[in-house]
Amino acid sequence: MARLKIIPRLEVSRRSTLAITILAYTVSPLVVLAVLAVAGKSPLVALDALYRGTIGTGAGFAESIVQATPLMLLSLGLAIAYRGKIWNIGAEGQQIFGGIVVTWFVLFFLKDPLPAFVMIPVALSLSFLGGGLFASIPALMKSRLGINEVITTIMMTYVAVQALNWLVRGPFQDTSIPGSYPQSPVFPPQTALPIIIQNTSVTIGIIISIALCLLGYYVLFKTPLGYSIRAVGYNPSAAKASGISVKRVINSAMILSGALAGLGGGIYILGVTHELLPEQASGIGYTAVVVSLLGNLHPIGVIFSSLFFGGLISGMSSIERALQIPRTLSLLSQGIIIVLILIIQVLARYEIKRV
Amino acid sequence: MPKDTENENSPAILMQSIVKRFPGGVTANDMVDFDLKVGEIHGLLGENGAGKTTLMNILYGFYQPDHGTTEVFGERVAFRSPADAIRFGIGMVHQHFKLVNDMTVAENVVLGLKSGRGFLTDIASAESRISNLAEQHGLEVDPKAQIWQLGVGQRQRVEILKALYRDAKILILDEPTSVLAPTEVKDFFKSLRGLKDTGISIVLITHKLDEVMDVTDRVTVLRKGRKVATQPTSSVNQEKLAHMMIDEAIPPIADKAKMVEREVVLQAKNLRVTDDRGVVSLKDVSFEIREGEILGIAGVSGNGQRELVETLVGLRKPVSGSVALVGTDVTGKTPRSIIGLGVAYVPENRTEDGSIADFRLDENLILKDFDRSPICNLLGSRIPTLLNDREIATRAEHAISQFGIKATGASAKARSLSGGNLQRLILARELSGSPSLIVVSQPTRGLDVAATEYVRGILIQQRNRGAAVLLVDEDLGELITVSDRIAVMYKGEIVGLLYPQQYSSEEIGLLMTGAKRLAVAA
Repeated sequence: MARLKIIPRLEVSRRSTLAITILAYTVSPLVVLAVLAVAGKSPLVALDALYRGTIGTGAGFAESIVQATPLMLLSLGLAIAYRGKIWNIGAEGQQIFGGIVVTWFVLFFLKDPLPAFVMIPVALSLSFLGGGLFASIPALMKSRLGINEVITTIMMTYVAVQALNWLVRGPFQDTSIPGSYPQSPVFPPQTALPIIIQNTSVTIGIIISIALCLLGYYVLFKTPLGYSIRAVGYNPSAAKASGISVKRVINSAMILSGALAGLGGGIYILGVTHELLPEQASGIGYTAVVVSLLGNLHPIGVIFSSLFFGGLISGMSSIERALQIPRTLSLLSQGIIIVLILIIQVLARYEIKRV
Repeated sequence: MPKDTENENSPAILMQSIVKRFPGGVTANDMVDFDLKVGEIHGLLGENGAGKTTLMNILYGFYQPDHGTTEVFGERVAFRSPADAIRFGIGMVHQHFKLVNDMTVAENVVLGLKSGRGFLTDIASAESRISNLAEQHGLEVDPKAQIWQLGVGQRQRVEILKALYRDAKILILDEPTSVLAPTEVKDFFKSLRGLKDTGISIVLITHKLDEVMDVTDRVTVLRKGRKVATQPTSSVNQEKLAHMMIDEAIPPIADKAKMVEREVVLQAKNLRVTDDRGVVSLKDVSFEIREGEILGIAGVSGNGQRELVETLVGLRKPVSGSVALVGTDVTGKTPRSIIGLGVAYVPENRTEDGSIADFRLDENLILKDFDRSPICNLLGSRIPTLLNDREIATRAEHAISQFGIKATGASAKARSLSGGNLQRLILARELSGSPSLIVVSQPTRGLDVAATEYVRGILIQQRNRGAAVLLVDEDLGELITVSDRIAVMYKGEIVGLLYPQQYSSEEIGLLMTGAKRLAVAA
């Protein structure tokens, strides 16, 4: 009797990877439409709203890009760390810390605002350094003491969130407005990132993000640093035997990953909110874990998965408004899409054979 | 299910014409017959890779044989998993214990069994039954103790109790003494004899001749997957066993150029090294290797060879003693700086330590110097910034043609290579840049005849070029063929340093198994 067996493929060709990816990304939204149909909502209206919320209208498109921007940087950082099997789960805390550093620099370090062309690069560089500094703590704990980075990065996120909550109600709070909302004063206009599409909030942040993803590709695949990160991720003992310092790789991958998250936080605050809010802790750092996986931990893949996810967030809120569905149902649908794509990507590495 | 009334005359185990082939063309067992009498201790003797463990794993249901039959107490069986074997009263204690450190002895013993109290555990009754079993068989251990509190010898008793608790009538022990201290071995053998007296049949997998002589009733010798003989222990002696165990067919000695006026490349002095558990595994080891010399390290695995190799390449720091390379002290230096001094390392485990399976061939070839010129530079300058794709491609092309690596191309993943081609890849990487010292461990293990010949040829070629080679090998025939001198290691010491022409393989075998010792003049 012939039995069917699922066995791993020896090699997955680039073409089939691409085909599977496209399949995954188109099939999964259709499943969501089916879910909505089951919930008694018109799938056609939903499809129309999805279209208008993503690529159908300028506003929808802009919102998708805005959502994708910081996500892309966070996911890029995680992709680099995960390539080295360094499981940074704390991009959330690292981006919050980046935002805090920017706020301190813009509002408290400078007595008078500098011109935009100085202020913005310096502020963003500081957010980059801040995120890296914040990630250096779990990095050193892992490389020196062997403490599991999953735990420490999660704990560090609590630290960042609580620090944020305290700062916006304490030292950073805007006391000039009555009622004392938990928020910092609004940043001077010189700090706002330049808009690149008129009448939208799409800033140069997206250009920086895509450029850094391209650079990230080079770092990961064309430099000795990226090579050593991948070598350690695939096989630490072989890497060690050939003279690579595994500790140094852990430190650099984790710190680089945190720095990119910090920059993401800086770009978010200078491009979107222009003040420090408790909502800086939006959970984007956790979404980025998924987005980096959706992008196959590849910097170019991350560009697309972030744009897809930005579109998904924007499109789903458009569906929410059009169909009057609760936010929970929209979040449920997002969850279904993510799980479907991840399952399809894993299954693509297997084939069914008759034995 | 085993019959309640066992046939007195039928053996506990009868395995006939067992054949087991593994992917890659390795035949681990080739028409092996094996029988175990009720209430005997049966030694299963052979070198590493002789097929002892495979045979017992078939008996225990881990593997299914490609051919052959198995009977347990006269009943024909075909086990699909260890659970089947356990139901038939077979218990196996592996070389590496399978115990949960943070649980008590009793909890470990009942792990996986149904409790007599439904959803609730029934540790109390388990504890009392374990105490009884322990007392009955002379395997004292506190059932309430946590595993991490126990020494290795006691952990082993827990493993045996686990089997007895499941009513094992047949015990398979895989190299049980390899983890024990000499005094513990004595106690252990005492308990084995006790178990035998209560009617339990025991298979003792080992490669130590003195143990076979000491404790077994009969012995079966395997060599290269085939059975050599089964004999009553009283009718053999250590020399005879060594002779049966070790392959006599020694291939002709390859062409070696004569070497004169040579400098010392590697000098190891009074090395004392501990293993991962902190147990001393090298005591006071000293030797030197000169240019154009292959020093073979003979010994049964686990006698300190791994620690020696790791110390020489910088992966392990010695407790005391020193290592010098062409006069430079490198004791405690990092692998990176030792590699920088011209040391090549071909590890025993090709897939785990020697290569990166998910890297392409060309990526694997730059593992040692990916951050150095000429592989890494900026637009032809000497600043290490970008990987030079052209340089990498040239190297890969060169390596593939020079070392005859059969692959679909430089972009094939290393995991797609066969063992022989993977070894060629590793050699290509390690031998680039004419290293002065080459540390090689088990270079031909698992390779077919052609690949084996190739690897041996390469080692001799490197020697003739003037490199010093340290060759750790369990294949004594190969050591004798290839080495200029042989150091025999036993229990972390060099127990003999000799010229292979002057000694027979049996004599070396006796040194390897600790039955004999030569005065060592380093």
